[in-house]
Amino acid sequence: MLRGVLSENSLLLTRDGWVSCNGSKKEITVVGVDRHGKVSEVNVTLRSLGVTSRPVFLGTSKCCGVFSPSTAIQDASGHTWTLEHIVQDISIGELRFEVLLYVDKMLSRQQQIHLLWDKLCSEAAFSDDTTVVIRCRGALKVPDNGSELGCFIQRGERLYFRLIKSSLEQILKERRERELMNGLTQVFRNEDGLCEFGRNDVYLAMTIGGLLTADKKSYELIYDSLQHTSAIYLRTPAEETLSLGKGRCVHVIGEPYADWEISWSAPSWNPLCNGIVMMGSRST
Amino acid sequence: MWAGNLIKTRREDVELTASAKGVASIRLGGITLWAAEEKQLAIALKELRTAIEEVLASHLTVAKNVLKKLVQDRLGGAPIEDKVFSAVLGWALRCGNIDAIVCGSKNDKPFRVFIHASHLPQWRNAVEDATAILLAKHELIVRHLEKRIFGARAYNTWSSTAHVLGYLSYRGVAEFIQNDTCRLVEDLLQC
Repeated sequence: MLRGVLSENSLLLTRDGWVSCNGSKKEITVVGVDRHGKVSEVNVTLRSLGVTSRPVFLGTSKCCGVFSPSTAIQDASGHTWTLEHIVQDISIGELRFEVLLYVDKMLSRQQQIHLLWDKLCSEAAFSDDTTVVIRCRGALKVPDNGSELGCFIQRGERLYFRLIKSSLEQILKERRERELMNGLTQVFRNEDGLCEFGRNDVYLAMTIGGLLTADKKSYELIYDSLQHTSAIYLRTPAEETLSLGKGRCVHVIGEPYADWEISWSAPSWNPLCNGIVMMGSRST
Repeated sequence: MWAGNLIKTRREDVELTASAKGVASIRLGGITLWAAEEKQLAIALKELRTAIEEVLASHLTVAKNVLKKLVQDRLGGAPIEDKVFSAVLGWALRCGNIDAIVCGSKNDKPFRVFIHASHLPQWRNAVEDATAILLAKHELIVRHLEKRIFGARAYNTWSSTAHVLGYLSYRGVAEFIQNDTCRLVEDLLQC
């Protein structure tokens, strides 16, 4: 059996999209890679370790997410690092990672509705059981082409976006992922043309990254300079053509979160955590 | 007195005073800091980072310009170069004892304030309180919320309270109608 440690908000890739440890079942099938780099799915077991630690946020040009300081990840050269080591001793700009945000033939994201809805609610100015209203990041007027995802509302110089849960369910059911992607990017695009997410909105940033990848569009993630990382910015198309995820940001998060254990029995396989290959260690 | 004036952002500024062995440097974020000796550099950086964390521990939230002034005062009053301060602030943020929060100004422009990690639960409570009052009364004056959060007034408590309302403004929940008054943005769910 191989075991690794995650933070409760770490994201694992499944056929249905991203799931976080604390929001998923104890036994799930997740996407990972074998020793030859071939993408495959394996059943894993998740369990809370009953301890907390201050997690580490790692941002690359292609993905970002929250890890336990004990999480071990593999860089593009095959070297294994713990997040604790990276944040304490490594110049993040020197690291490159293989990144995977999307797999072909992903199933409908309908099962993701609850997680996506929760994340949109946490980003909303107002929400109830059926509706979320999000303040658009920077647009000063209603976009000409509108959005099939919801409606824009002008309030003075502010723009809001109102989304009905049933519309989102319909779009996911009909697999109109391009509309989902276009709608979300319109809502989160700021006046500089970048999609702007709070650090707690990793799920939304990664979901849009996955949708752009599936649509064969380039993008890159950028962060505040000097690690002032209260925001994640997504630029599409990317200015720099990068096949690997270039390390751009790393810092400890001030508040502790629960550590979770992930275990699996496939011997030459490793799961993806926040889009990056994580390593397990053997244990009895 | 803090030895920060010995830290420079340009190598040539320390070479004149450095020993024959060369100069010491550290790269923090995108900025390289230089000093004549390793020990000098390490001590000055530690003192500056500690001062930043201690100042933030004494207040709920602090804007960057105020933080720099308070840190300077704490370290004896000598001016701190902006780039040096930003580099060490970034280093402190990387270590996780402090955090940054985006707020909206009265002109609806985003700006960042800094908070000690130990104050994050108090910040969340203040945001929840302010939201509940706004939903009930539709308007909220900084002075009223300040009393609720802090009880007695003290240095920077008015500003920290304004940051709470600024955060709600940035999120789109409220908008400033005066310097010290926020109004709930209404009727968006039912449009």
